[in-house]
Amino acid sequence: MTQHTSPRSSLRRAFCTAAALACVVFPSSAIAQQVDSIFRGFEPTGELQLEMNGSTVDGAVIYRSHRAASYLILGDQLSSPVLLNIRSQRVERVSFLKVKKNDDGTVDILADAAFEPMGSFKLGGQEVRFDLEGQKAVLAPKPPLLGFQTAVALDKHNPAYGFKAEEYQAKTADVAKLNGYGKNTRIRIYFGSWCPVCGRIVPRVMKLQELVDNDNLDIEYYGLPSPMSDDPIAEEQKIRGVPTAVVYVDGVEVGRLNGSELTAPESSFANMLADK
Amino acid sequence: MSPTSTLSRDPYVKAPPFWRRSASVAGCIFLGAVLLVAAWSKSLDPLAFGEEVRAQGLDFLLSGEIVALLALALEYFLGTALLLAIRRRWVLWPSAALVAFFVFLTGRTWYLDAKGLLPEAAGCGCFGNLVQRTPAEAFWQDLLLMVPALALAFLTVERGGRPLVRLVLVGLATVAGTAFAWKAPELPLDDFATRLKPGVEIDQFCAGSSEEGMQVCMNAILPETQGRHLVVMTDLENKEFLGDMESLNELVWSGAGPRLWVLSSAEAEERFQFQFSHGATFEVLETPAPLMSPLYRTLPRSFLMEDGKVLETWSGMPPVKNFLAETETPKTSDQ
Repeated sequence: MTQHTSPRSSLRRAFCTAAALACVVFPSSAIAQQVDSIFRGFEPTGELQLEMNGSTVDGAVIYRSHRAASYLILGDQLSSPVLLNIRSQRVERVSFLKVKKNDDGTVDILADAAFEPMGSFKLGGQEVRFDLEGQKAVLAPKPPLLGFQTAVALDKHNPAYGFKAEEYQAKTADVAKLNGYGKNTRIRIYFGSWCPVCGRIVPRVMKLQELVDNDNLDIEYYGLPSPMSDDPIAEEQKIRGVPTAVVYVDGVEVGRLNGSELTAPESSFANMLADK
Repeated sequence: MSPTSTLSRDPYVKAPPFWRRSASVAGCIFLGAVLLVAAWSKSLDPLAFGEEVRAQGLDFLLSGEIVALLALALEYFLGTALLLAIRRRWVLWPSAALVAFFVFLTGRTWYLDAKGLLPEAAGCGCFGNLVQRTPAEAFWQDLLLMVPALALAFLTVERGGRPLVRLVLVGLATVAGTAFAWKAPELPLDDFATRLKPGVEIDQFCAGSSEEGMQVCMNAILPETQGRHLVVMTDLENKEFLGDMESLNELVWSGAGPRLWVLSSAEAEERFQFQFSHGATFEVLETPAPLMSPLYRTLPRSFLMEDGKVLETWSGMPPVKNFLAETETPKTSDQ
């Protein structure tokens, strides 16, 4: 849903977007960019979404730095990046020019960045409320991703999945075994986008899917609500926890892996399929 | 299960055959050993037993802790008496009542589980109900372990004279066992009483079973296990933990020392509130209660691990200042 903004803020946004583009166009090494010692290493987090005046701001990407105990919100619809500093309980504006996006997907704030105070935030239940550009803004948990999904949809819903997938180092020997597997295989991953452990394990499966080059092997994802028993397919399939992988060979279920068995999915799947 | 014969000093009463007396004594000793092992394991963590008493709704007259201590005293008394083969009615009948009560409790839990009436373990709900042994297994194990032994013990019943020496031993064991259970929370027994101790690999810490649809181990909770990691298990509202927040933050800012993780089985809303209230510079990892509870007696509890192996444990918070002293880089910035 779109947000209505004044011409002045549109102008400001255009300027900031141009400035941000300039940052991208000029290689970071060409400019002396000393990174702040605390406000650095912001990683994308897909747990939360930004709402303004009751509508979700689709383009907003939320980053989190544990080290800085802060959240950084970037988005085309914002005139500048917004920092939620939990230690000071304040909301601050940062110039686009002082935000550096790194190749690994993380974001740093430069050491000479000025933080323009925008007020404080209030906490209520599972919502963080603050004023942003004259509107009521809320950071709240994202609703769960339900039903059949692709890896692309997972990454879009939660950019942290793609970020963590890139970090994962799969065992090449086990990936090679899966590449050589000849039977028609389908792996369905039941997950909860609200489940922290799924947030660590599903990205590994996504990385595996990216690495496997075998037309016989198909991986699909199925998002469940909380509680899981609300989903009829989960009930029918007797899914008792997430993440759970159900493996089918030639259309017949040959086994299941769940929880800790999926910490190295390529090895677990290779072992399971070895004698099938 | 009424006694089929009695042992008496009356010369006109025929003594039961040897096999019957032997079987009775063996059943008696076996059941006594089972009760004593059960009492001992509960004595190591009487607070957890008190929680269980509360969860079973048995604290309607006295507090859970008092009921737990009284139950342990009874278990020590009957267990020692049976182990010393005191086969008197005043031992056998209360033992039968105790066994029946245990079987009733496990049976009731099995029934509630089958009807879906058991509350889910605290946490995010990812793992459903993680159990080490299913309620059905618990019921059948209790039944098969105790009932046959109890039946054997009833084969012969002693009468006449008082077994004074054995009674004194029973009294001493009961007092000692109960006193131990009373003082156990203050004793440095965490490494002994829990599964978390130096030398253990953390991937051995698991809850649930694949057969029941879900098993989760500590290596799935911690994002990484290679290198040195300092792990704190806590309630997010624990005063000792909150009092050390700044030291923990400084440890993270120092950039040196072990990587810090905090484990908690708090509900999503509590974790959210903590996340936006306290300015923690470390990640709080949601850990299901059935996985975490066998690793501590009281929270917080902490450990240092390297490459997935536990090096050192602490009852309470870790000595963060020692770690800070080890690091060479001072705090880099003041927010």
